[in-house]
Amino acid sequence: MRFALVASVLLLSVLILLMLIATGIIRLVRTRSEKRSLANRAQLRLLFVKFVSEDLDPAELRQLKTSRLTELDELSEAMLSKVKGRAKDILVSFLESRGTVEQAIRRTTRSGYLGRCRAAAFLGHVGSPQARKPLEAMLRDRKRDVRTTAARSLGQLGDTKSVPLLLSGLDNGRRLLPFSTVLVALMRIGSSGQDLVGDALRAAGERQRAAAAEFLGLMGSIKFTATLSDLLSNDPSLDVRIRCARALGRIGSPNAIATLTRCIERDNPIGLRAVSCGALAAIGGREVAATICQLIDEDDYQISLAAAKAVSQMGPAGTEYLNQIANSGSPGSPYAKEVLARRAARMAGKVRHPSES
Amino acid sequence: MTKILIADDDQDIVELVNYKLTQSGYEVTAVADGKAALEMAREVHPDLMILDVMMPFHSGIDVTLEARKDPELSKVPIILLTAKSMEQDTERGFAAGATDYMTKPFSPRELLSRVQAVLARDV
Repeated sequence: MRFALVASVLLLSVLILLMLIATGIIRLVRTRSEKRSLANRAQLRLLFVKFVSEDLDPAELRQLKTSRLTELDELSEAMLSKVKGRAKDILVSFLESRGTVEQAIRRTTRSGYLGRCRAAAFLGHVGSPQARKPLEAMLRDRKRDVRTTAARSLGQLGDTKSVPLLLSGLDNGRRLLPFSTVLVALMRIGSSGQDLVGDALRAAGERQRAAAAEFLGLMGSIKFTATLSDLLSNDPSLDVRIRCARALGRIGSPNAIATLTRCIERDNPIGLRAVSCGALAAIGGREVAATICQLIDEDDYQISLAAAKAVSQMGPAGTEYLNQIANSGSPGSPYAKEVLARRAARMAGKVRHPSES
Repeated sequence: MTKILIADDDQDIVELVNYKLTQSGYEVTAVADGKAALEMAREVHPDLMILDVMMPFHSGIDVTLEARKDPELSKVPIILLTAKSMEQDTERGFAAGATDYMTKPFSPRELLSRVQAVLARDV
């Protein structure tokens, strides 16, 4: 009995000892392997940096093992969105030579939506023309994230052929594209797409007309002044009318003054009147100044404030007029004071401009 | 040897810029956050600093403001390298005291040219 007990304790001790030794060996092997892997990774990163900096013959890369080339693909993909110019060209031609663009195109139809998103983002960064059609097909993807990423990537590709599809994605039933994403994509495509965007001012979809108006205003497309003025007067959507007013202010053509002046009349919605007021100020001119100044004394505070802000943008003459109103004790006096105080605070650095927050 | 301090929390960018500048004959020190950037700047007294704007602890703008208040660092040229590309971001960078402003994605070649230009101007 006693012998059995001693034997069991001994056996247990030996087992524990063996386990400890085994754990130590495993840990040692793992540490060594991790160190080796880190050293290899560092070596590969250095090689990669040399390659991007044009200090390495691409032939040297071809001698690497497949597993290391795969790691290099990952490094290149990660770096792609961070550099431009020659460094980006090097990365793109390397990735193209490795067949990663074709792989990403195949991934655009896979079942996992994160994989599709990643593929779309990658294709946008690479900017390969062959990616346009698969990306356009992704604009109808069932997942919103995939559609958004594809739209962003099409903007990076910069091909005007994508403009109609991007715009129609704004009124695409249940598979809509976000308004701001489409607008940014259109801005990236740039002025070469403005005629196609201009066509959308007559589209049936309200969001398409709104995006077109916003884009043309941001691009300062003066040749669409007449069409935008027409929409400002007649479009059934208030949102579109407001965006047309803002666009006309950004374009700055005096031809829009008459239409904008009609929009600040009392029978129009307040939002439209306020934006038209700012647009008129942006166009400028003595005639416009007189019209806006009258609005500061209006009984609606939104209009008074919008008019005071608009006058403050009209240079030294506007500031002088605001000072006069501020000291006159008229109904518009508090709004003139408010705008002057805000501007003084901003100039002193005490208040941030809303765009800075 | 001209000393350059880089502060960026993106390892890819730090390695690329570090290599490019070292190959061009500069002595480079790299850190990964704003707090370390200030400490390192006070220690190594760099001839130029390249700062990311969005970093942990202190932003590049904060580091620039602090450096401009420090008599030992107030004259050190600073290049801000950032993903913030709006007009008001650039204005804030220059208002804080930056010498130059570059937006990401960036061209390593262009960065090197700007470093050379800023240092030549400073001499």
